[in-house]
Amino acid sequence: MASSVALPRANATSFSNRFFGLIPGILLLLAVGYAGKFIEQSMAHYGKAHHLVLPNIEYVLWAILLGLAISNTIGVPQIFRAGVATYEFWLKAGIVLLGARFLLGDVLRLGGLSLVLVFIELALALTFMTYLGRGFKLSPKLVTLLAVGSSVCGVSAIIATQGAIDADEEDASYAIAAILALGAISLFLFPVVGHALHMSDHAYGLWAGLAVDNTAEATAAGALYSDAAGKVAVVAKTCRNALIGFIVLGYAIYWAQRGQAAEVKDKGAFLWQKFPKFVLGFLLISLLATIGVFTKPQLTALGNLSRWAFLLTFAGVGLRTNLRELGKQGARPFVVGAVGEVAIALITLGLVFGADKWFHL
Amino acid sequence: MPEPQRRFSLDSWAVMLALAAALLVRIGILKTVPW
Repeated sequence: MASSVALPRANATSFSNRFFGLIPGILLLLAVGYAGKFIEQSMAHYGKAHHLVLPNIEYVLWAILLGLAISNTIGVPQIFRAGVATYEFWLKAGIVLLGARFLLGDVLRLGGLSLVLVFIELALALTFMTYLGRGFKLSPKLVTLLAVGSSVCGVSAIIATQGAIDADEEDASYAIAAILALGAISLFLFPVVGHALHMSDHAYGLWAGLAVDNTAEATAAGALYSDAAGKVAVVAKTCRNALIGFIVLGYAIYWAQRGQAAEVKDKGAFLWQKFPKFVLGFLLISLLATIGVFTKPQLTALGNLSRWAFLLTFAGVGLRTNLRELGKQGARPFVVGAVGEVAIALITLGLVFGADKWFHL
Repeated sequence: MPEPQRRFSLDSWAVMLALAAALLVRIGILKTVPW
């Protein structure tokens, strides 16, 4: 009897402890993100007041740079870490709310094209990464993790695959470090290449969504180019995310047949468990917006809520990236990841230019 | 002690939060969201 009373109380205490433990980190995300927004606005006002032509550097970049500066100098103190780790939660909430800024027909058209390109990208990227990893004599499961991480959706895909194929913690941490380091590099390189090639917002957004690994980095890489490119990048990246379950299931069956992973008994339940639910939320909000459930000012309010959620995300991308820690990981996984990323970036760039020629993006 | 099984994933919580925010906007409790 005593335990039946004590247990809920203990659970309630642990829940409230965990909940309140998130608050300092979330406030830090808000402070860093808002500081980025403040710097952007201050620079614009200063330029206007003094008749100067200053570069328009978006809050996205400022938030990431401020976060990077903190995490790589003084570091993120323990008290903030749990809250900072919620940045992926805000990213997903932001993507769902972003659905309000799309008509369902646009989502289906853009999503349909993205899906076709994602299938081609996945087939080429998974094959290329597998042979590349074997060529560099990496362990077979590390090759699988790197292939999934670079072709599907970064860290989430690696974590999902690690559990499904019983891969070592060490292999997973190598793959995650390589993918995070490369994601941080692509975040800054992609907009430069996009501008150099004079890509349209649509073409660039599609490219960023198809090629940049993590959803947070893909969203940021798109938003760094333009607001419109950011929206397209989210749709293309969401299409890649939607396929994560199928890829992980394929690898789980492959390794189970070799007796090196547990057998998947209920494939339907496995797919549902791995399916990113925010994709459904995004489609639902887009459907509600399309059938006129929201008025125009309400759609603006939802769009702004999505921007606030992304602001927390971008601050988190900088704050969780510790360049020294990433540098400590082995060189070979990084080299394989880097060569693979360049190849995937070129393949997807070719696909996007092809699609642009055929469909006039 | 093993970690208790979560009823909802983080993903699902994010969707629920976003839908709750959309509901607040729809029924007029959140009238304007500045940016």
